[in-house]
Amino acid sequence: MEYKSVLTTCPYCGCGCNMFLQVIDGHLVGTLPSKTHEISRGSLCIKGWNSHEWVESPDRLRTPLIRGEDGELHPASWDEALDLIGSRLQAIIDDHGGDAVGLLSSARCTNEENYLMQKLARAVVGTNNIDHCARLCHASTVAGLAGTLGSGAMTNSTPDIPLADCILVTGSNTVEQHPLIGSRVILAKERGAKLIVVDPRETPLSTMADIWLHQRPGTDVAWLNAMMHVILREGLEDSEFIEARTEGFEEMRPVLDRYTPQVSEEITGIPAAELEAAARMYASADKGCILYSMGITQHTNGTDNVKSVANLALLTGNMGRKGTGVNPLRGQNNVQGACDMGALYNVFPGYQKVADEAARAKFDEAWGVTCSDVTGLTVVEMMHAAHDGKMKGMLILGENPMLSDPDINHVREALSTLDLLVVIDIFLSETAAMADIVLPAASWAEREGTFTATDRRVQRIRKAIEPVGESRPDWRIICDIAGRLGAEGFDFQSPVHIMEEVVTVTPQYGGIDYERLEEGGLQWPCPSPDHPGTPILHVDKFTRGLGLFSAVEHQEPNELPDDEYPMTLTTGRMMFHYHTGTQTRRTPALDQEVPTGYVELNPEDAKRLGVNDGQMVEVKSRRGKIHIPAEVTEKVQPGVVFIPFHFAECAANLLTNPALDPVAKIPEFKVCAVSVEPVKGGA
Amino acid sequence: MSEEARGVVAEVLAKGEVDGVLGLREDEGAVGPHYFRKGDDLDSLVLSPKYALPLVLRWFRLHSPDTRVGAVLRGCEERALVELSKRRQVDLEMIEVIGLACTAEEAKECGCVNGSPTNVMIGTPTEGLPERREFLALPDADDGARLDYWKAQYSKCIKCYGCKNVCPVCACEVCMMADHGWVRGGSLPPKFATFHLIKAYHMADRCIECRECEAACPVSIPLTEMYGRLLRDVERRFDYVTGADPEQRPPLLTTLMDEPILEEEEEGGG
Ligand code: SF4
Ligand code: SF4
Ligand code: SF4
Repeated sequence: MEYKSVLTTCPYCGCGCNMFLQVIDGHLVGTLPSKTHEISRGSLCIKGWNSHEWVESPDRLRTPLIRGEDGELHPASWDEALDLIGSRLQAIIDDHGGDAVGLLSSARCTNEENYLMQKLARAVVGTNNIDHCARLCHASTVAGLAGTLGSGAMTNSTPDIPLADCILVTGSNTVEQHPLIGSRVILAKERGAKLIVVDPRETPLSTMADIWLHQRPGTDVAWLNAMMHVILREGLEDSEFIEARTEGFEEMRPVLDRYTPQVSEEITGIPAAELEAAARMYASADKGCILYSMGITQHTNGTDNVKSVANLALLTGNMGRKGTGVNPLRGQNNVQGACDMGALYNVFPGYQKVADEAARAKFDEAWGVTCSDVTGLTVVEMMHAAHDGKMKGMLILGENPMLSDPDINHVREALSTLDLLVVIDIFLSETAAMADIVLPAASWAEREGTFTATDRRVQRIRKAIEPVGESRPDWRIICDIAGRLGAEGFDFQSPVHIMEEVVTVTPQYGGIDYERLEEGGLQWPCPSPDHPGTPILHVDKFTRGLGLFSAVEHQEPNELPDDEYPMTLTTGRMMFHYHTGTQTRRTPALDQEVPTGYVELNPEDAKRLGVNDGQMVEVKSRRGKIHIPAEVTEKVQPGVVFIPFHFAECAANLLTNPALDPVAKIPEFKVCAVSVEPVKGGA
Repeated sequence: MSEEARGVVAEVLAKGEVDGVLGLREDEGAVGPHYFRKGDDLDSLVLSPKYALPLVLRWFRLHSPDTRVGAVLRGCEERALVELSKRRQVDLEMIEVIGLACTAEEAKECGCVNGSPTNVMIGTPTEGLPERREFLALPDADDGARLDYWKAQYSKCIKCYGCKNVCPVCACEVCMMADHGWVRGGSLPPKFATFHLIKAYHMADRCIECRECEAACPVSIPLTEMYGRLLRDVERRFDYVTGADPEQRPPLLTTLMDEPILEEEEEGGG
């Protein structure tokens, strides 16, 4: 018998738990949480505990597939598939230029693979059309916090959240989305920390909060401004901190003056007195910690929301100390790393701007090419360009826009107009099923590399079993595609060597190497080999020097309820599934827990519409309609409905609005107008 | 003590009666289970923190039933094997237990009353363990305060199933905690009375108080305060001590379809 217990990092959320995969005779038989790891401490959530279950699923892609003349996908050899990709991609580049190609990288893949994807785009294809689904979750964080603080990442660390005296959670269903951060909030609350939750929907944390404010979706700037109004009115601000460490305060002040709690109440629906109490509670804490997530970011004014959150922390001096900070919780296992690696249309690795001539010169030299200075397209813009016939070819790594992007009908049309669609994935996702060529990737349990958790913690993943079938690690596939395009600089033998190149061009990762990572994770910035890493950002000085206050005004969501679509739809995730469900829905323990989607409907609305719990309803927006069982629950307020987006058969994103935040270009997943009606004959 | 353990494990491996020895290893900045083979460097072998090794032995038996293995086990872990063998989840003949005695501090920290494994090969058995487990003083049961206490504790639950997954003796093929007839799927926190009480009830004649479930609980619910009290009840009523005698039939190991518990008692001469 061969038994191995292989230490690795969870492939799901950004908490970054470490676990031992249990391998007997080359097969995964179980998972055990690491007891000595700082984040997991012997625990995992249900997804982590069952993360081995889908790996050897019979549904895994086991060979490359090429679409034949009959319109079907047929098994092919690696050489056939790679040659075909090489020649057809080259033809598009020759005929239409590199900007006719778009690449989507993946927050599920490793840092090394994301680095290679953007290098493939910039150094080989010759385009900045590289993006990934961070656009859909935290693009507004990257833009908003980079502007105000100088770094678009979580300021503090997961282990120091419980040290806060007051935790303000907004737009984050932390227990379900970041379970091992949520559990720390629960423990902190139990030990006596104050908990404030601002969320339109009931969550496990809102029910135990000292104060739960439920705002009308899309009105966050208004309540944040009003909170600051109260803090200033009552002199609870940290004047010393404002004086010494910030700028822009005087410019912001007149705007705040107008947002009295009463003005806020009219906009948000939050009773003025409750808002005042929350403002006092947060401002009078010695250590106040803010956790936020997509309820803040996924709006047409997402960047403003983020700036507003930063304002609140700056005003009260809750920065640069343990148990404080502005902490965007990044959803996916490596969405932080995918951003760090420059899988974004406007920045190279380490957030060095493509528009900056010096940065371009640096990468020209490193890669021996001339990088394009043409601004790239983002996820949603690529779909528009494909729709308009300007985008001819796309290479998609482990993403599933056919379920994850807003307005799926539009995505389908866009993808089907492409001359060439190549998808690299582990399962035949809804997107892969539309591809001309599909390449089978090795799963996270079958390859080496690094993920960067939400608290900037770079950690190893390790190979536990051989890749199933003929699947190959993504990094190898990307290198092979680059090779077929005649590129040099892609002859890496292993992820170790890729990381060696990454650190030479990415200042924040400068001191990271695999040998150091063997001893545990490292938090960036870690600029040099002797640097211990940085658990807390902005300690004595902000990354940009002074913290910048921004005057922001409330702005109504792009699409408001009207007579035809009288209700507000908000979307999100749940504990038991993950994103587009390709893995979790193939996990028996999770599928058994929650087999399909549902729409949450307030009992008042249900009564008015004549809908019973469990009954099929039709939810319709300007973009599409779905049939979905109703879950009648007080978790949502009257007039608001909630749908988790994991389920293809009742896909929330057939309904959502692709309207974008003008700065971060993140779509407004959290608010759109819908109508709900019982389906005739649907019991 | 690690040094002593390395010597003992080396000897067991040298004898060649087992395929390998399951123990703990410190590597890559973490401690976790490891399978040592003859000739392996044993320098990385360590003894703590405790991991649910009987669980790993259950996987061994499931996937490689004909392999005879050694395992460095503490008292509670050995008792877990006894309970598992009664339920045909491990074959005691196929496991050579290398007994590890917990230190006095370790035993105190666990509140252990049961003590060392039968065949201590590493360390010295701790003397003078308390007779009875000291339970937390819970609020009064009469006026509902205790119910409130448990409700508050269980309301923290994030339904990770860690308490079930890590439990060495939670070995049913179909788990009732995930059965929608008893517990509504997908609701968080799970409904109080069923999810947690199913586990508690099922532990009443098999929990060996290793406290792995509490260690795995991300929200620190004192789970064994409930299980331990139930165990004492079962001990009192059925004269049954978990993990002690491989031949003693667990009193709840019967179904409503099967013989009632009373008959079982009479047959057993109780
Ligand atoms: S909390 Fe996140 S990282 Fe930890 S086990 Fe769950 S999904 Fe994985
Ligand atoms: S203490 Fe917990 S983990 Fe150990 S046997 Fe009892 S229920 Fe299972
Ligand atoms: S380990 Fe704790 S949180 Fe997880 S299911 Fe059990 S009681 Fe609930």
